[in-house]
Amino acid sequence: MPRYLHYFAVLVVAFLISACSRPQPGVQEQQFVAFGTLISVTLYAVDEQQAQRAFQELEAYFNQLHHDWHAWEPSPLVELNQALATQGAAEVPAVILPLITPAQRLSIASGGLFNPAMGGLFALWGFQSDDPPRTPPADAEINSLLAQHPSMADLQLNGTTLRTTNPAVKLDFGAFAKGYAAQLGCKRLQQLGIDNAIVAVAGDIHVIGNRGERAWRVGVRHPRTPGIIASTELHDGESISTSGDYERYFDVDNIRYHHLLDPRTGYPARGAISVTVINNDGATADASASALFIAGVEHWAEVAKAMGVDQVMLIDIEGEAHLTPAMAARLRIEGDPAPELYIQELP
Amino acid sequence: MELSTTREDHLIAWLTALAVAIHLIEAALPSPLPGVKPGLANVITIVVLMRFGWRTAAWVSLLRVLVSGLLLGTFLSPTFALSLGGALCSVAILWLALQLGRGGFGPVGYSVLAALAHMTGQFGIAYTLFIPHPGLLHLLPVLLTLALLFGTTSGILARSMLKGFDNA
Amino acid sequence: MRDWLTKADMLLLLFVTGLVVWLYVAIWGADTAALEVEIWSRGERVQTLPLAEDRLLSVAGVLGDSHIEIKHAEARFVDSPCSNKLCVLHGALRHAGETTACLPNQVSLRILGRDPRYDAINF
Repeated sequence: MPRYLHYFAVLVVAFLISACSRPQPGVQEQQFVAFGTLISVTLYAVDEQQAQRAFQELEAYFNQLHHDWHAWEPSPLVELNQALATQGAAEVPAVILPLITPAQRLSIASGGLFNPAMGGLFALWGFQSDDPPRTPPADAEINSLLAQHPSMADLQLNGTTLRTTNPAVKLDFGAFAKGYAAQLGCKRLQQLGIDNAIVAVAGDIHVIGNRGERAWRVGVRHPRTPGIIASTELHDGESISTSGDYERYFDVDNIRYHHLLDPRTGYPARGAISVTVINNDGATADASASALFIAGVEHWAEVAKAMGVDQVMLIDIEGEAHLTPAMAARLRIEGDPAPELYIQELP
Repeated sequence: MELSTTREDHLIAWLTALAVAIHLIEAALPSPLPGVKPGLANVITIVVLMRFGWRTAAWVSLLRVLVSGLLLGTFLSPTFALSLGGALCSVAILWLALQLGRGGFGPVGYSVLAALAHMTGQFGIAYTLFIPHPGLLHLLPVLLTLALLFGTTSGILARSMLKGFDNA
Repeated sequence: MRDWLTKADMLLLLFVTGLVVWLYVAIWGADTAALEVEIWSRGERVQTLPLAEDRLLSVAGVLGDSHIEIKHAEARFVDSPCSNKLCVLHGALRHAGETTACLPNQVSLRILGRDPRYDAINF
């Protein structure tokens, strides 16, 4: 029956084709705690030994960055702040120097809504400390700090020397350090010969390469209900950052006090519950997510334009989603129930 | 000048017209799942395949898609792309089945192969061009089950038609 | 019967039915049966459990024990020795790639699957 041998051959070929199309693993993952948050790293097309080495290297690297940029434990940043407060000028340590210029540029572009010079205000609320606060600070303390108007415009960088005209300036890079670090982490992986990775520092994610035949997929957490509100694919060199009022907060008398402080009032900003930004620069994505959250539903589009970001989703206090056309084009809404969508062109 | 037409040309024209009619009727019927149709026009393709060979069957099948697309006003639209992709896939699998099957398959076999290829082709186009969502993949086995049932039914219908020709 | 179906037709029908059944198993089965929960504590992977088996377990973290429940193919924190209970509020995980953590206690959960729906969660 040679005829049936042919059928058999067809069946075998068909089966092999379907078997080959099954996804191959080739994925290595690691989670660790640094920057006071959970960091998850996924590598693609890397052998296990190389992956383990990279994970160790990266964990040490993030711990080092965390130490270098720490705003209140003994660190190079704390020393810099002390020198600025007492002498009005200081030499900037090499580990901090690359942060100054982008922080200044982004802060001025945001009209001061992203204000890393307000370290005093962040310390007053204490959201970043290991023992989270349960009550807001006294009005008088907030007001006396605001009256001194610490701003990034008060700083002049000359070579490696930083001068301030305002002794109230206290640097705290918390609002963009994680986005910047996620991108630096990917850069470090590339130096180790790894070309396909996704590094997630909590709400700040940076990717390089892809996950085999498909792009890296990222889900954005729903700000109120368990689960995911939207998802998208990220391509080589892209960052996504989300700032939400659910990350660090406490409630007093049904009022939520969260960590996204409005530098104009000294209190948590009230115009949004989460903002997501996609950009090719991790620091820009992170800083603008915070700034647009503070700008709120009324003014986010102007601030986005000024900061040069065009892929934005803002969820307002009603749970409705406001998107730029560029964000709407790539985001898949998955929330259940789906939020109302408003597409808004940048001015 | 006059184009000379053969008896076979007329037959192809008539069968294509019949396939188009079936296609149009199906297009007008409501469907529980978008894109899922019994594909009764497949009956004609199989009858032509058994009677006149693959070349003629391929002509009838592709002409059917083209003419129906023009009549329904979906020509070059996504619906048309889906239809054409499905037809191309089923015509291709029929060619393969003829080459490798050496005439061992009957109308039901060809019809099942054509229906499955049609569905797979449509699905592939829908997935890659329109909605590349992994969730869509969950529909594939369901769609193929339906294609298997419809393919078998069309095959039996095609066999009855062929029998009718023989008796006539 | 022989009149309606040739031998090749019958072989084909058998094979195609088998293929469709296999597709159901491969595509639908991957969702629940193949999913696993990975539990991490203090930077170490402590356990990997099938999501299909219900159970309650405690995992030691920095501050104390976090209580985790696996039920109806979902995994969640039921209690943890942290002050804000964000991990408990986050609710249940069920899709491959979803993740949640009790940061103060340094315990985290992640759903593993062959082709995860998300490679990372922006939270």
